[in-house]
Amino acid sequence: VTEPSVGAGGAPSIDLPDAGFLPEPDAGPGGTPRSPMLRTDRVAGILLLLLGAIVALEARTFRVAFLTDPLGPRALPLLVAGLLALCGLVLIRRPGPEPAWPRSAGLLRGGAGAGVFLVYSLLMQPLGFGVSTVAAVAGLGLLFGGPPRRVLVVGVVTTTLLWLLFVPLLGIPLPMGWIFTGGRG
Amino acid sequence: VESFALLGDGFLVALRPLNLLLVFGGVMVGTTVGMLPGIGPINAIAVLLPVLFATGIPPESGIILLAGIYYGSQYGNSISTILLNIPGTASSVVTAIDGYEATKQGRGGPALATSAIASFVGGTFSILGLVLLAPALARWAIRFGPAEYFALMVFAFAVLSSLSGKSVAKGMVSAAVGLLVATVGLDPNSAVPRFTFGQLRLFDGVDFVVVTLGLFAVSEILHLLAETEPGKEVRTSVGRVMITGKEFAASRWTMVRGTIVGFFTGVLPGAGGTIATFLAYSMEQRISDRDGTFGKGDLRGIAAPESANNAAATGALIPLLTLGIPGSGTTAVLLGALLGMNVTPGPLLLERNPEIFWGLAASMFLGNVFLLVLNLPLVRFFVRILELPRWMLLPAVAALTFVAVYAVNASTLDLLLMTGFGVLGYGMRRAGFPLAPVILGVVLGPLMERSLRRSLALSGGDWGVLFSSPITLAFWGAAVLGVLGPVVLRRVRRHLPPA
Repeated sequence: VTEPSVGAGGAPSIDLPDAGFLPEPDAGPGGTPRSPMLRTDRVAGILLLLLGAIVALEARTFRVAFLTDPLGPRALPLLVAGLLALCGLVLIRRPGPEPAWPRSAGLLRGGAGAGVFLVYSLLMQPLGFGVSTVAAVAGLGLLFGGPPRRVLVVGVVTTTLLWLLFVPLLGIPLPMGWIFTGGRG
Repeated sequence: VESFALLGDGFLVALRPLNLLLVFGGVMVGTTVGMLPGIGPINAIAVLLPVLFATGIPPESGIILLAGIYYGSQYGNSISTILLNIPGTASSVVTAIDGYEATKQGRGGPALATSAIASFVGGTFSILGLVLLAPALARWAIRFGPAEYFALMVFAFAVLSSLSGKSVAKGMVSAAVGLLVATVGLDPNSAVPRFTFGQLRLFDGVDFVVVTLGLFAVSEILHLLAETEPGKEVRTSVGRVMITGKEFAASRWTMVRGTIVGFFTGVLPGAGGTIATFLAYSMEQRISDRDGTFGKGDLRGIAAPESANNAAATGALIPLLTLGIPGSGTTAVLLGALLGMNVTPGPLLLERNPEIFWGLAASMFLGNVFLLVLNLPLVRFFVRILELPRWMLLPAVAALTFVAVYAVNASTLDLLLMTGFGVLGYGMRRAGFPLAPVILGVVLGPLMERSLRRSLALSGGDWGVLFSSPITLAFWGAAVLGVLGPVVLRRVRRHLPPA
């Protein structure tokens, strides 16, 4: 039995006056204690200040030739930039409890997963839907701890099912890539 | 009385063969994705959107299908919660307390049956509330001008931001990030490109399907990768899936109370199912826990949150359909779906598109009956799906997500953006930033900016227009209360001795 994904995932948890019967969601395993100066919330706060500044600078370049409305295209981005910076300051001044980050092996697996997604995104067009999907499914399967030969089978089956679903059934074209079109497509 | 005549017309819509098939398909898909880790109703709906738009399906059929996934997932969620202690969403966390305890005592079957019946009671009776309350709310909201809408949206953001995370500041950051993403592209008023960095592909803005699937589907897979200990797999046994008449009689008033609490909590934008389940459970504990059996596998501890949960899901459709203001991540995606099918939810929806509102309401009656009748016999089948190892299921889910997004625009940039939002979403959920306000921001952003600019254009640039009517003042007051309320309550609790 795995841990509840809500608590461990840091996904929505709420603070109500009588929510005391819930276990503390942050008490997961593998939390790395850090020095009080470099807390996650402080880092996030600094990033938000930066983001707010970038948004504000960029928004100042939105120029209109003629006045369409009193506010113009700048107003909302500037308001948002202010809100981001304000919340960033709050997080720097009063950071919350440190969340539990997974162990480095877990983060490594997650990073490898992001790498698979990145390569898949880049190869879908040039390599075609078929080859890239088989490879991506098999790669992710390996990362989830599947046996090598069987993840390849899952990759081929998934790709075939997706092709059946999209191309003949729904009539939505997918890029087939040079392998199937002999370099013409 | 008039409502019921219109509901009759709605049944004529819902009983068309295509729509009947879609209700059935929707609730089955909903149950499955609600149960499985890594998918969830938001992802299922977002994956389906490009396909629905491409097929040009009539909007009432589209929303019947998507809503079926939405409320069907509430049923599915309780299966994995009760049997495996894996609540797929925050609104099932409470069910796990008594539900998983019952499973450990070998009473998983009765627990599942209680959950299904309570879900049915909550789901069905709340449709009556929807049918009665929505037309009244629409008649009232018809007077809203842009300033009222702006204040209402601020209220929805304030409540969702302050309630969906632990920290109000983090919730507001999430909403701001969503609003920022919404501004990418050509400004609709002046045609000035904003945050496009010279990319022509970005002039149309970032598709909210891409953002949603990145934040929820991709980040969930990254999260599961980071958490998985390879080799751990799921096994469970169900036992007899039924409850005795005596067990039902003990919890029938619990279900009624849960439905009422859940429905009214669900109607409030931002509050939603999670709070409804907490309220229903703690209220029920106070009313009927005489022998201290709550938390030890008491079936009433399942009936209360499950009826509340489903009633809240229906209640949340009211602000969505009559005001055009969603109060949660999933209803925000439903709003995007309606807008994508050229339907603008709002006070005029009931007059202009009666077939959508009444057809949907009628289909929900049918859907809940399907769910009750099918769920109990099919529990064993669902458990088999749940037992599929993660290395089989999750890569296939990821491939479906990528292929569906690519199929819309054939854009590599969309895939890259989705991956980027996946990494961002993982970091955000890890650092405690809630994701639902981001989606709300992306979907509501354009509407919010339009109403802000329109009200200031009407007033000639005077910001006072935003505070000029009693209705706007009420929404602003409620927004301030929504943000400050939880903070104040937390302070008060700190000064009180523990009860």
